[in-house]
Amino acid sequence: MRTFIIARYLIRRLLHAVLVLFAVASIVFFLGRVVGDPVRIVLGVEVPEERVQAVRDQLGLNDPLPVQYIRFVSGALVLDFGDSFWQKVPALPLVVERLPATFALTGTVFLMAVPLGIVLGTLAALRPDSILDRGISVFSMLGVSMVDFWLALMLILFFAVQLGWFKTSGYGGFQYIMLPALTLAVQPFGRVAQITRSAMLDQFDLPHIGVARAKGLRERRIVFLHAMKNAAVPIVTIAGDTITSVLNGSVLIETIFAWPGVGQLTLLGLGRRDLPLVEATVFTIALLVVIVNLVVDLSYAYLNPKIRYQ
Amino acid sequence: MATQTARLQPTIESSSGPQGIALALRVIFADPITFTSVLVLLIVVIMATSANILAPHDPALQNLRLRNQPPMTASVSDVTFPHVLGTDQLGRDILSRIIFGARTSVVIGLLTTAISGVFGSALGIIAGYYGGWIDDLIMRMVDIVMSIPSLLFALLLLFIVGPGFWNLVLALAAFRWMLYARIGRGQALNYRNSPFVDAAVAIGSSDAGIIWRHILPNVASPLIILATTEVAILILAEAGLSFLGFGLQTPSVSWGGMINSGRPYIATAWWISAFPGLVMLVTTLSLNLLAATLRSVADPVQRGRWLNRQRPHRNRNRR
Amino acid sequence: MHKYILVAVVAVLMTALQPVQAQESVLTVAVASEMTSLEGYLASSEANCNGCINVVEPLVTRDFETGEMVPYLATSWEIVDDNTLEFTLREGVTYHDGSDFNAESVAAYINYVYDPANGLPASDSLTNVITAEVVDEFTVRIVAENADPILLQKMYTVNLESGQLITDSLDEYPTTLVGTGPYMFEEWRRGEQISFVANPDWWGNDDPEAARGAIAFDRLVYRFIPDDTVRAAAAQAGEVDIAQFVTPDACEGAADLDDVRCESLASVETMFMRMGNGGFMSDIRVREAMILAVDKELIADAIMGGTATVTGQIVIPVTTGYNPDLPPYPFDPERASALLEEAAADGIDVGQPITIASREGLHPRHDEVAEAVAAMLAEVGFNTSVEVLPPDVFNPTWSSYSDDPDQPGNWIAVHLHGNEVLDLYFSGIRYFGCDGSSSLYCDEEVDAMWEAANMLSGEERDLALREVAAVAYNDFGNGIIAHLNFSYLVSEGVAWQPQLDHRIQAKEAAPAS
Repeated sequence: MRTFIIARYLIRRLLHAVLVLFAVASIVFFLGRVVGDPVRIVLGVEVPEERVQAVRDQLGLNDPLPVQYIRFVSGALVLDFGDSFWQKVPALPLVVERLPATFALTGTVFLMAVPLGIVLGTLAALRPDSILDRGISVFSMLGVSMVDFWLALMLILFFAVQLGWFKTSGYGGFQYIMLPALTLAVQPFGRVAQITRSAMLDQFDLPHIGVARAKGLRERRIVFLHAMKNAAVPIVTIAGDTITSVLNGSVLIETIFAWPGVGQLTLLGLGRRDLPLVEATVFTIALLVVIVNLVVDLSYAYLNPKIRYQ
Repeated sequence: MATQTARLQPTIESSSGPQGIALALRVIFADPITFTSVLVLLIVVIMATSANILAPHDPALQNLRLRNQPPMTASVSDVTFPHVLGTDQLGRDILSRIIFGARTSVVIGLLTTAISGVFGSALGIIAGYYGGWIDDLIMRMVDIVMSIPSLLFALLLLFIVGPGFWNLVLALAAFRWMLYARIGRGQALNYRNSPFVDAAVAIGSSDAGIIWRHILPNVASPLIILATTEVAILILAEAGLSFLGFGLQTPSVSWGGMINSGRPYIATAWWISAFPGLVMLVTTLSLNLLAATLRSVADPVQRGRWLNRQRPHRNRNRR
Repeated sequence: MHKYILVAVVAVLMTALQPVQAQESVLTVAVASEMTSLEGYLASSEANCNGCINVVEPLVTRDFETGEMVPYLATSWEIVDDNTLEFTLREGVTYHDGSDFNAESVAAYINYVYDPANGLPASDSLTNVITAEVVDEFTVRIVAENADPILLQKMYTVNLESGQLITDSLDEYPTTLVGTGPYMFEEWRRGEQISFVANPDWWGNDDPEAARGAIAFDRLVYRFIPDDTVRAAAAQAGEVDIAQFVTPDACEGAADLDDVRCESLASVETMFMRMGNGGFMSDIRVREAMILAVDKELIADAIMGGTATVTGQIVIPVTTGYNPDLPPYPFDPERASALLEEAAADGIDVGQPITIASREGLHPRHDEVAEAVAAMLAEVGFNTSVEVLPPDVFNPTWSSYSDDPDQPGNWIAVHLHGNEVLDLYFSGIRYFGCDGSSSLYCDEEVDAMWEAANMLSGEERDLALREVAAVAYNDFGNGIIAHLNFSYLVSEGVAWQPQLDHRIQAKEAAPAS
């Protein structure tokens, strides 16, 4: 019976995810058809009108919108978004080959922000108003109030040019990933620490923690046995949000650091009015977000039986 | 978010302590950080509303011979105010541009927050109050829009409609309404089944009347707190869009645009981007700090802790 | 994730192994934009195909010191008539795919790529359609559809890829590059870099003089770093040997650095206000006022940091048709105001709104130039506003404006024009001709002069073009501002100087001794 409930829940969530993806793809399709004029960008200024029309025909942009939409949907079903206008090869593989860079960056930011944020947030909650607590508050407040591209340039000028510790830009190992990851990690770290702190504080005020305290259990045990388990839900939520916010910020930060991820490709695709490419990138990013949300939802169900499988 | 909405929050009405303006004043003066934040925001609002009076120079007046001058450079004629914060790449007075930029940034922040807040809250409250398919439809919409990262979505929209003040406001608003909808819905769900709503239904009040009189006052406080942080996020988002080439066009002056146009000079004329950056940082920081205070005050558990913060023995008791 | 781990492992291994390994010499270049594809016809412009000029080569090239066309893959040529050139090809040259370079391969390549029916815009950039005919194994004829006295000069932009690539594996044309050059295409990692390796069998190894350079590096890496500040920072941090198109500020800053120098050189790009003589600008006083109101020296010195040279002509001095007797337009705001008042007194609405437009990302500082021009025009009494537009909005407006008779002439673009063929006729018909694709200027007399000059060649052509240039100049057709320099940060470890065409050719660079 239990397996049945879990299976039904899973299937519902999956169907929901597919619906969301389909809707996102359709929105981008319809937005895309009214976006500027891709052909003019591809061909440049000095091209006669007949050539423009010929290319529009060739790309199928002169067909009625419903025809284009049906062609788009039937392609999207088999993950074929057509050839990139710009690079003249299938669009989705172009996005897929950018995924390792995006995963590497997202993963590094996640590792920098989330474990550290949880640990420091918990420590802050244990000693409210201590120097650590105030320090974390100030840092996280500064983090969410900072203009990210300005921070990025400052980090480059200081750590890469002045000190020479890291590379200014480019794709590679530790020396290359540190600065973009640092830029992107500042905000999520602050948020994770803040949320952990307040979630833990809430837990400390609840009666069963008081009971545990009264029983004379060691503080550390109290923290990990009781508070942590219950505070996990908001922490998981914010950890999931971290991934989404990195995918979001990556459009800008990947461009500055010349990091060849999906964000950079998205901006290039938009700039060149490359409809198939934009469709493929937005679809891929939405897919990642949907997967992260699915994982977050499933862990809610695991962490908090009350909201399990409703 | 999930827990915030899932947890039943007592209404402000039901909690004890000072109310209204008395509460607000006590909150502001209770804590130097909050006091400073409010002061900063007041100054920004004054800058925005009376830029013409305050600015020592015409923000658009160029003087190429005085370009990239460091702070405290004397102005062309001796009678006028010196360029206290230096001049930018076209020799325009940075202080005056910051003062005029406050207008743009504040208006974009407030207007966008108002539009997205009203739209999102209304949808959320409707979803939570009516439930059923309306709820499903609205929340699916929220899920869908939330699956596209917000900056990317705003970019997509701006690519279609092109840059411009209203386009910018609408594109930003279009991707910031979902959180209000989620919070509004969660809150509305909580109060939908509360005794006073049941009572109002029993005496035959209309849905609109119930939402207006009973639901809205109760859900307002988390929404206002969210709106405060949103203003900060939107001021920063305008800067991000400037970087990507979708900010406001000249002659509009905005802080984000100023930071971005000073970007190539970061190594040689740092003041062009540093001062607007600093002003933006202080403003968004103040908004975030104010939101944190509001959050503590609105939360009954933290509120007592917060208002009694001055008494050190409480902390000792906690240990 | 795999690739990342792999990169990390390889990085660690490489550091560990470095002392043992023989040092591979690499030239690393930071470029501003990434190519759209590897179609060989893009290679003639560095911005369209980064580093590709190291792989593919033309039949003839240009000596920038003399301005003459010189033999390259062709050892000699003969001008058969106005439409036809006959080239004698270099023997013993092979493509990187192993196939032989001969008339047949040249014809196979040109007849595909330059045929408009195949949908490639290659022929547009030539403003003519060319075909190739095999005469014998090492003799090929290039035939132009329309009479073209400067067909030879245009051949400088025609770079050749393997004919076998076209006949056997056409699908790969956009994704690979198979030429005869000193470096072979290795890998294009999108969003990151394109790399090339030295070609041990390059024909130039035996004849460095004819090849105008030598192979000095084992490998070339062109990294795509779009942000101006970061690209300069990469050179300062020693991560790249050459950083392309840096801002004048970065150049000034380099004066204080030991490891990096700035190389700045004039380019064919000319910054100008595209005005024309339509709308209220049909009045010559309005046009003259507009040009006199702009302080070109100040723009060149202050905004461009001295990396621009004020000029009165749309082409650079080595160009056929450049008229040495035409100085830069003066800066005279008083006269401009007076002219404007005169025109206003004659009932011309001089206060009508004018837009000063520019295209995003045109070159560093172009947006500031547009703003400065708008302010200077406003100073003498024009009613200006500024628009910096994305390419897809700018381009159609720019090119179709002249077709629309209802549009008044008050959309003034501050733009660049680069005449790479070094013949004024191209610039002339485009910006000072009634049918010019970007022209707002129309004068039938001038048009007739352009066409007459185009029938001539050699000295006569030069003189005839100079004459038209003077007529257009005195009619204030377009507001010419300055020739732009392009600047590079170059590591002191590398000997290299930019050329007028601003291609970064590795055969012209070497490790500094």
